[in-house]
Amino acid sequence: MSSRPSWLPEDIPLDRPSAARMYDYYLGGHHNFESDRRMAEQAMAMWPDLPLIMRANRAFLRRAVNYLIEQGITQFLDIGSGIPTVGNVHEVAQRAHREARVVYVDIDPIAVAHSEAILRGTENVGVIRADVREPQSILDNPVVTGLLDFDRPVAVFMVALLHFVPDDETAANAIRTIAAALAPGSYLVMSHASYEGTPEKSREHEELYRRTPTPMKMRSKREVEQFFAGFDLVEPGLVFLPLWRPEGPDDLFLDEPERCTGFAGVGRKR
Amino acid sequence: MQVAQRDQLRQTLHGRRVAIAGRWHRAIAHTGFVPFSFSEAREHLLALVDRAIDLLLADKLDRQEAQSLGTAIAALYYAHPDALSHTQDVLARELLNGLTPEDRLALQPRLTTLMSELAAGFLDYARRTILAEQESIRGALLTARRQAQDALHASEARFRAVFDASAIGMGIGDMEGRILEVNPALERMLGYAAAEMRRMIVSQFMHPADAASVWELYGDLISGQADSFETEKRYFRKDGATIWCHLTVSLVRDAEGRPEYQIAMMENVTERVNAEEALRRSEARFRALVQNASDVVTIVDANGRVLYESPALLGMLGYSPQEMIGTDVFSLIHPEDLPRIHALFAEALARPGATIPAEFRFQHQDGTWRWLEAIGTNLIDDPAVGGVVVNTRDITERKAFEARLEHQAQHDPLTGLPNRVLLLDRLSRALATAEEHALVAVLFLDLDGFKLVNDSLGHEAGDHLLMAVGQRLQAALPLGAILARFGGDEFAVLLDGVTGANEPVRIARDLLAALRAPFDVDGRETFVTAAVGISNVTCAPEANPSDVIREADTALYEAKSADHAPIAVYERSMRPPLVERLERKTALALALERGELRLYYQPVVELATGRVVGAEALVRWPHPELGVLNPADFIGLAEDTGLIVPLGAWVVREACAQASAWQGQRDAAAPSAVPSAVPLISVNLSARQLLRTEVVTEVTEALRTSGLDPHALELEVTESVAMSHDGKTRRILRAFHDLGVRLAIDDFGTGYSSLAYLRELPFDALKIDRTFVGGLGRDPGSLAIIRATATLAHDLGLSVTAEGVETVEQARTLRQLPIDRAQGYYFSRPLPGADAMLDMLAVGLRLPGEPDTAS
Repeated sequence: MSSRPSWLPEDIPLDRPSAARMYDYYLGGHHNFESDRRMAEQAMAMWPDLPLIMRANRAFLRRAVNYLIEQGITQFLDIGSGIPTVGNVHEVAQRAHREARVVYVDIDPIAVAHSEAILRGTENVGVIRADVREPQSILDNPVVTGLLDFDRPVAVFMVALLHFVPDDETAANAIRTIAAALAPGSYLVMSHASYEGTPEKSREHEELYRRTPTPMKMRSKREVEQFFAGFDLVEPGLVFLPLWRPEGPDDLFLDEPERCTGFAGVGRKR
Repeated sequence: MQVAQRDQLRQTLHGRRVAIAGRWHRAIAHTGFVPFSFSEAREHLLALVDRAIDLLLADKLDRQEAQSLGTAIAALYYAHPDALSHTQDVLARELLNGLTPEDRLALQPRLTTLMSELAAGFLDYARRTILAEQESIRGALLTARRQAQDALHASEARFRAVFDASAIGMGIGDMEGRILEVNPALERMLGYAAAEMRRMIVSQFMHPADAASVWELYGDLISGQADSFETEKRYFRKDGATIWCHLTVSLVRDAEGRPEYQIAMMENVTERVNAEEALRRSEARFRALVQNASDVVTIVDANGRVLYESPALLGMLGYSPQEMIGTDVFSLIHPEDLPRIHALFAEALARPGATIPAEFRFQHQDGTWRWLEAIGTNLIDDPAVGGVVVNTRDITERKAFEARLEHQAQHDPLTGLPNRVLLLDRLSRALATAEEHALVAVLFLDLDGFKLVNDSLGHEAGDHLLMAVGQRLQAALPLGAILARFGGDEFAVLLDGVTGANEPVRIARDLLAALRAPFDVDGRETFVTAAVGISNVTCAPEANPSDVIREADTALYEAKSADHAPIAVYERSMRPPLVERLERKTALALALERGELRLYYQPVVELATGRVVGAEALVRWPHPELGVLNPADFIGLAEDTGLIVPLGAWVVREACAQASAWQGQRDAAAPSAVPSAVPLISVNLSARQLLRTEVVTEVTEALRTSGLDPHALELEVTESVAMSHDGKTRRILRAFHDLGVRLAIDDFGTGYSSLAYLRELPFDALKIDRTFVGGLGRDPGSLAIIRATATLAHDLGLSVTAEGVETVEQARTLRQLPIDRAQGYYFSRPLPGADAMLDMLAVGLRLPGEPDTAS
């Protein structure tokens, strides 16, 4: 560990690919740089399903938002929101509830800067830069406390997030800390990459992500389930991404859900 | 195309719009950026299908509208290139599906144009989207960078403010130790201006008292092995004063992790360190007080005035601390000790910090004198003490004990009189201190026939008599005379300051007169006579106490002679006892020369069979006046005078000849009786004999002359000889072994033995000393020692002989242990004639007692 004096600001690394911008590229966006695209192409050469998996993940996010709106949730905290594009949480949520409140959180300064640009002028939506490994800093952020009322249920999204927190205890602590601030009836929405399904590819993928500022750790279904301690998983429990409340026969991977190699689940706080 | 025909076509296509949208959706669903739900997507696509039908059937193709249809598709985020081609495929096929060939033919050109306009619109939008998104992400990058920059400036400004305003001294240096920047607090702390310090390097702030570890830590930091360290060290200010600082040094690394700057933060902690030091000193003082609670702790000032006394004073010396404070500590010290203590106190004052011990007498509150042992430490310079600290303990009892010990060392325990040591000491002092030409006399007094009293009435009676004699002599002596007992029945008197030559004689007469009356010894009336030898000496520096004693001894010897008065004064003409020894030596030499010495033989019995298997040769001196003398009476003399050499040689020759004769005579008399038993002849060799290599020749010669089988000769040496590290002795013993002669250790157990020599030297047998045999049945230790010795000897392959067996019980016990052989009065005394031995050996005679039947 280097003991960098805290008054020295960190640099913005352009030469290193970022998970948020690679995600954008997988989805067909152009909010990315050469380094992101090169790394993403490398990953896709190894694992051509990746863009579809990302899309399946994005589809899960949308289905989960719709589900939560049906449950009457109007406050959303999306941690690891990445580069915001059409179909984001606030778009889906505010279409249903004009008053719905959403805070986006990401660690990538560019993603945050971009989000701020896009969301300028949008009511009831905020964006902050924070690190999920320091969960208290999220809860204490004035944008969060100004928009969200933690005395009422809040839906916390950690979609495709915690596999970027390799240390088990740090990941568990992030959930524990945030869960402790939540009112009963709040929700935790999570999807998480797993080597169950396509173990070989997952390993290579982990290897590749080691080169990004956000290295990756795949977890078993059992390990992901343990993240829901204190929450009751709603039907159908923790399942492969496409199997979480699918909408129709045209949904991706419905016939081979394990190709998605990630689990999704929604838990309700007791 | 006719209006009616168009309407009909519109109707037909409209009927299929849902199917067309469905197929379209399936074709492009997974190319979209945003995954719509199925219903959302169908809604969007149905509208687009309607627009496509309108465009296809319009009078004139609205190219603008056709392009905006493509744009709309792309705007739905079906922006992937595949989305365009799939859309073209599906629409080109599905819009003409089910039409008549004529209609198809008519619509085809329109459809082709429509598709190309749609593609143009799609691509235009996609290009604009790409540009917009790239622009937006670059904008975001710029924003993020600007924000980071702002944050940097803000933190720099914050840092600068902290740096300048901090009460903690801060300095920044490069990795060569050059000081780049310091804050005002550090300027104040060290007394240098910032500009001065910027010309300095870190190592200029080394302090001679720095622990080596401080600069090791610094080295680790500079080399990048450590990122920070904390310590406390001293600094010289510019004005020369020393201050203590708490120092934290941190390393700043560049983006590649290389050490770039060092940052020091310093806090002046001088006051705290000084306070701690003062506290530590006062704690040390307190601790010393507590730890020595049983001692008295006194603090006095340089004049000896008491500043402090610990409570233990009351118990030790009867004074309360309050009454002593302010008094002069020397006032109660014994006057005899006072000069010495004054000197020691002066020495303590001259050497701050030094610890000085002393012993002296001090008056107790009850008036008695107590011996005290004190240790004084000069802490006058220590602000926490400001005086000489004296720890004191009472050693009166120890002193008394020491005096007792000294008295015991100088006194005879039986009579309580001074012993030889004390008398000699006093004599030396008298000779050294008496005035020139003063007279000193020593009287030696020896009782006549005391041995008779001891032998007839017992030792206890002898002791009582000596005590009574001592008392009468003491009573008869003038004051100042010193009476000592020299041992046995010999007393000595030292007379100092004698007035004339007659005085000692008169006193000698008084002494003899005092003994004249009968003594009551355990109820018996006993008479004692004595003789006195007197040595008068005129004091002179060259006078020697041992000469005086020897002269008195010579005079006494003279007085004891039958033809002399019981009192003799030393004269030069007197023969000292040494002369007597010379005469004895001459007599022994003559006896040896004339063949007057005799060998006696004591049989050695094999315990298992009771058979005589050998004999020990013992020399006797039939003295014309003193009767038959045992070796104990004259071997010492023989050794001292060197006569042991010819004597020993004679014994070996004689013994070998005798043993050889027995062997021949026995074999002739009873050849088949005990064919295997070779009688063993044992001969003692003294240490002195074993210092001469000639002894080997002598033994060889004796064996050759006598024709005795070397195995039949056993040479006995004492433990001290066996343990000897003298190389010559060892070589001689090995030579005997090589000859085939047996070697035995005599009197085993009486010396202090290392058992290792049993292994190192070629011994065949050991003889257990008679004192252990005598202890059998009386003291369990003897049996244990004999058993252990026998076991050890047998384990080492040595045979074991017990000496001094006197009773049947001893013989039985020894046989059971088992001990191999034994000798002693129980079996037979040493026998003078060779014939008796021959009888025993010839028939294998069994001696009385054990065992009756050999099995």
